Amino acid sequence: MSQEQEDIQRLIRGARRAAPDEQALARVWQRLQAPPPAGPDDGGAEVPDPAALANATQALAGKAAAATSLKAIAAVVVVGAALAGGRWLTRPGPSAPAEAAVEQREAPREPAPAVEVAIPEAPTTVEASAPTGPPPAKQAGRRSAGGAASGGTANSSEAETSGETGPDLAAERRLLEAAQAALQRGATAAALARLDEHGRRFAHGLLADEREVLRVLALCAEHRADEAEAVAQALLRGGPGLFLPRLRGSCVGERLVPVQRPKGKRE
Amino acid sequence: MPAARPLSAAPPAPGAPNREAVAALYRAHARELWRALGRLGVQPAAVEDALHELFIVVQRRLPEFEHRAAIRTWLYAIAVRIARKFRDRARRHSFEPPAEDWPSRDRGPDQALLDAEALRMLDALLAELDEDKREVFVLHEVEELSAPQIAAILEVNVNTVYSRLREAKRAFARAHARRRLLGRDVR
Repeated sequence: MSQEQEDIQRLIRGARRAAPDEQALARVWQRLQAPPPAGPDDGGAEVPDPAALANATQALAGKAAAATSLKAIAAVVVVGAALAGGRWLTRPGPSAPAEAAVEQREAPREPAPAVEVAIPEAPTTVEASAPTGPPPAKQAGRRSAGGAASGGTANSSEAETSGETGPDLAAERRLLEAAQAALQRGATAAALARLDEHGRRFAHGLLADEREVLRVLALCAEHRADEAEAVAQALLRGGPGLFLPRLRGSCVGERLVPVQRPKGKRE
Repeated sequence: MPAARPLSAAPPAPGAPNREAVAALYRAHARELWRALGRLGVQPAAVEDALHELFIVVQRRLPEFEHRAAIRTWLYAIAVRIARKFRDRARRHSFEPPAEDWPSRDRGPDQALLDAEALRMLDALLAELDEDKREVFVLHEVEELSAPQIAAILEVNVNTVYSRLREAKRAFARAHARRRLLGRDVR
């Protein structure tokens, strides 16, 4: 066994030393000097929002020395943020526990206002494609097309009837898509963080219902059924919607039965 | 709704200060990212393209990134996602033959061959891990990132990182033992 451990360690040490192909590195750098291709790119949403990531890591990085306490802190931060999110959603008012959570992490050197974090999306896109790329409108279009494809069906009708489209809706979609993607990966904390961000920026957005449905699912995934139920009930108080089947299929579906039951159909 | 930054103000003369910053990042991090991409399952022949894509993303998104303290974490976060994309792509085109070996030119040819062989072996073992475990394992063991950093990169919570790491180590050891029994160790 120990022999084996040694072998494994040897392999890993070797991997840490692994030297890249310097010529290839130089080639890549050469290629990077050309203006970025306008074609299939990173897909935007795939890459985590850098500022959010920085928020998450910055506080932690400073304390890298005390690994154990760090672990505890990180856990507290994650749980705290999630709880704050959970609490927030039961209150309609746009109080800001999530921002508070951000600050608790450790008064950041430069407190990054969470609200601003994702806003520069549109300008950045412009920036990125400015040199030779396609006009920004094209990218935006692509993005919202993607949103339409994978976005919630529940709210599409709502969106259409209001006839309101534009950067806001695109931003809403992006946030919720990111949340959905995180949820599917099992990254419930990340999903909830996205949903909180959506809640802060678009408290009464076009996709607010979709956000709350996702929140129910995320809370369910975290086995926080009570909170999930509270969200679901609050959602239902606004009247039944196309989201009903999804709620019914969630972990709190059973509990919702007495509240509203569509006639004839039940899962 | 907070207003978006005025469009006209946003783009600095394309690529001017940005290019310097990207160049610095490239000098400082391209090597480790190259290595990480390989271990994260990008086919050796595709690492070059993956690195290229990675830095295109960096070029594009760097202006948003003001917290240089965590830049390494950010780079790895991008690397992980690029690697996922390449793995998916490789799965879809799995008829492509596995790439040829790629001994480094910096060392003696023997050592380079040995290293390349060991790396191939490592990659084969890593390929037996589930992807989420592989990511945690590589980031922790090879790239030596801390669990909280990994948690931020993968957007999972720290406990998840620890549990995945535990499972990954176990799975890796099992895979390793199996290889040895099959007599395919490099020694």
